[in-house]
Order: sequence, then structure tokens, then C-alpha cells
Amino acid sequence: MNIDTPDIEAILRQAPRPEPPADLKPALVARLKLPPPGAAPSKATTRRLTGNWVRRWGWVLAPATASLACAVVFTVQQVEITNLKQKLRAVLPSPAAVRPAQPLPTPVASQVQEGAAGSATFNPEATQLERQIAQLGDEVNRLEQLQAENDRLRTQLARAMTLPPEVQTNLAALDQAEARAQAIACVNNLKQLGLAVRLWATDNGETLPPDLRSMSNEISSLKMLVCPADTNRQPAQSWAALTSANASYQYLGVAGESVNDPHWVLFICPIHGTVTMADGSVQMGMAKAHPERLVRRQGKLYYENSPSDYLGDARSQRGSSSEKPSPAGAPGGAPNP
Amino acid sequence: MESDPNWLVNGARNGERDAANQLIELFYRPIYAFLRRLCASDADAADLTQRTFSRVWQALPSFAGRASVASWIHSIAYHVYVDWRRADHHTEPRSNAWWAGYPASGPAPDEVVARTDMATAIYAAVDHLDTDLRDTIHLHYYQDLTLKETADALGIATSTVKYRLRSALAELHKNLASEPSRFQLLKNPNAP
Repeated sequence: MNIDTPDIEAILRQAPRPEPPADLKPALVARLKLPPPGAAPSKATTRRLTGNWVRRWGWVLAPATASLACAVVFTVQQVEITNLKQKLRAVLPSPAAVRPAQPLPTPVASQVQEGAAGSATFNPEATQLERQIAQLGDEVNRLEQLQAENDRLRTQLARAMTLPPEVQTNLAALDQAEARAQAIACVNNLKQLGLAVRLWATDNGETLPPDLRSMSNEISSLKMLVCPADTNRQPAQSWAALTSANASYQYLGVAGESVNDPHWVLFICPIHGTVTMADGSVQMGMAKAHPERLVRRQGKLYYENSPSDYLGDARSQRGSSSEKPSPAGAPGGAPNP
Repeated sequence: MESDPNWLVNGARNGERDAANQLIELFYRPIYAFLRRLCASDADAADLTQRTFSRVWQALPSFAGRASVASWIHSIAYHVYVDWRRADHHTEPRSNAWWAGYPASGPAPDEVVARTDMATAIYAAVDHLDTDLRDTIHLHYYQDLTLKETADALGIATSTVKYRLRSALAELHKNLASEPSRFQLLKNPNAP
């Protein structure tokens, strides 16, 4: 049966439509049960998100909140101290008036005591002065207490600013998790690139593309060309602007070669050592963990799955054409955008 | 304006039964046809259509309007069908000749007669496709959903819908070219 694709599409669009039974619509109307007006969607998702957020950041928020509280108390104390100092200045008429707070010279003290013991009415100035001395003594005592409290809070704040060991451990675990996430995103990028090569090969007689730019129709995003751990490269704005500075991964394919050997390494990440095979599979961290399994033959880099078997049987077959990759795990050469 | 599906959904959400009735009138035929082609039984299709609209009324408050109403209801119908298939352990009805007995719409009668054999073979070949490809064909071609509406209904990317349609058409083309007799025999399943 010889039929074109547009004909198939036209026939599919004109497919007959099975008619519903006559009693279906009345049944649907009879079972119509609308929710009450203004019913809100379930908030389970919101609650779950909030719970996750608190669980995730609680260990950071707790010391931060304590530090903030200490800072607030410290500020309030400082303001109170300043106010007390201003009151002191207002009470004392002049700097010389502070002197009575100090022990009075013996003759003057005895005179004051005698005057107090004798009759206060005869020396009202001395009585007033004595009252001021007592008041100032109280103020000085309060000031000393506030300064002591201030020192204590300052120490507590300094202690709170120093992260406890368990928090430091959590931070280290967070860094490890971030590095792991970047490595997984890198694997995903290489997987997508392998798929793009397969798509290109399918449309071009099972041959490999000459460079990354040739696969502009198969690669959905230029971000895919940059490893998340590569801080030196940024994704290109467009395919026309693509240079080696916009691609972390090295393309090792040869233009026009057939993709018939699944062990041929097509892409490699110099940072993680992850490689993409010609069959689209990805080996995470292979170039760094097992560089001896990457063997170069006739200008191409191959992945040997079982090096011991290979060395036992085929060392003589490889002969002088085999060569090890560079110590860094990368086969050398600039990215080939 | 009153037949705008979004306006009808808003009305039904506010408790207006007239709007809900118009929604039923607008969508129960295509939804029944969609489910009938998939589940291969009139009774099951009617039952699944009722389940679909029951879920539609429950899900009214959560309809955010990001997708079209057609793709939203088709998405619910598709999931109702998948749940039904899993719960009752239904095997895939590869061909139940759902097209038999229903007149094709569109072209003139003489053209229909001329293309009946071809159409029958194509519909049978579609029922022999993989589930993903077949469901995509049903939604995009049989149900007249756009690529984006099909993607929304299936919960996949638009590019995936394009890929599936391209793969399905290529497979149909290949199957019809290589084994035409296999599908022509299905024109009349009751024939000896």
C-alpha cells in the first residue's frame, strides 16, 4: 500500500467520532455536583513547602535569631547607658560637682557629720549636698551594673557568632551535596549531547557531525555546553557567537566517521572526567577514576570496559598504535565548537 | 461569549449550574469519543465519561487557567482512563474496529468510498502502535487538539509531542508499506 504521510495525516484528522449513547448526557447532568462557591484549592502543597523550608534552614536560622536578639538587647543597653549619662550631666551643675562622690577630705567629712548629727536645720546646704551624694552614689552603682551586663552580653554575642561544630559539619555536607549536584547536572548535559549526536547521525546517514555548531538543531540550549562546575566559561548568547570559551566539553568525534563503535568516546568533561560514548551512554568520572581504561587508537579515544581481559588477549593487536591519554585524563586539544 | 470555555469554568466555579451544563454539552461528545476509541467498549466509555466529569467538578477550584479548558478536561479523561486500565488490569485492546459502523466525516461520499480501505488500514495500524504513540495520535489528530494542548493533556513537552507524532507517522508509513494485508484484513473483523 503506497501512501504519503500527508494523506495519512488527512485520513487521521477525518477519523469518525463514536457517538455517545442517548442517556449519557442526562446521567451527567443528574450527577452534576459543583463545589461550593469560593472553595479554595488544597493547601497541602503550601504546608509541605513551608515545612520543608523550615527543616532545611532551621539550623541556620536558630543561631542567627539568637545573635539578632543579643544585638537588640545590646543596643537597648547602650541607649539606656547614654540616657543615664545625660541624666548625670543634668543633675551635676558642673564637673566640680562630681567631686563629692569621691571620699571627702577628713576635716570636711567630719564637719558634715557633725552638722548632720547636730542639727540639719542649721546647715541645710550640707543636707542637700549629702542627699546629692547619696543619689550620685546610686547612679554610679547602676552605671557599673549596666556596664557589667553590657560586657556579659558582648561575650554572649561573640560566642553566638562562632558557629558550633555541628553547624560547621552541616556546612561541609552542604558543600559536598552541591558538588555532587553539579556532577549529576554535568552527566545530564553529556547525556543530552550524546542524544543530540545520535539524532544528527540518524538524519545524516549514521555519520558523526564535524563540530558542536553543526548540531544547533539537535541541542536545545547553549547552557548544555557548559559544565555547572566550570566557573571560567559562560554560555554563548547565540550559536553564531559560540567559541571555545562557551563550551566546557570537548568533542572528540571525527566528521563523516560512522558511529558503529559503541566504545568510542565522543565527549569528555575535563573537570569531572565524565565521558559520553558513541552509543549515548555516559560514564561518570571515568577519566579521573580509571584513566587507564581510556585508550587512544588511530587518533580516537576508546573506553575499554575490562582492561585486564583486553591486556591479556589483545595487547599484541594494539601494538604501537595504542597510546595512553594525557595525565589529566583529557585527550588534549581545545574544545571544538 | 457565553460559550467561551474559560468563562463557563469560572461560572461553574461560582456555582452556576447553567455554566456547568454548557460545559457538559461542549465536551461530553469528544470526551466520550476519545474514551470509546481507547477502551473499546460503549459501556466502559460511558462509565469513564461520567467519572471524568465527576473529577472535573472536584478539580474546578484548582483550575488555574495555565492550559486551555479542552486540554485540561482531556488530561483528566486520559488519567481516568489510565487509572481504570491499571486498576482493572485491562490488556491493551489493539484493535476493536471502533471505526466500523461510524460514517467518516469531512470528504464527499464518493471520496469516502474510495478511501475506505486505506482509512480502515490506517486506523487499524494506529491501534497497533505503542501506547505512547497511539495516545498522542488520538489526542492530536482524532481529538483535534493543538500540539500544546496535547502536550498539556499528556503532561509532556511540546517537543516530545512532535517527536512522538513524527515517530508514529514514520511507523505507520513503514507498516502500511511492508504489511498492507495484515491491516486490510482488519477492515471487517468478523469476516472469515
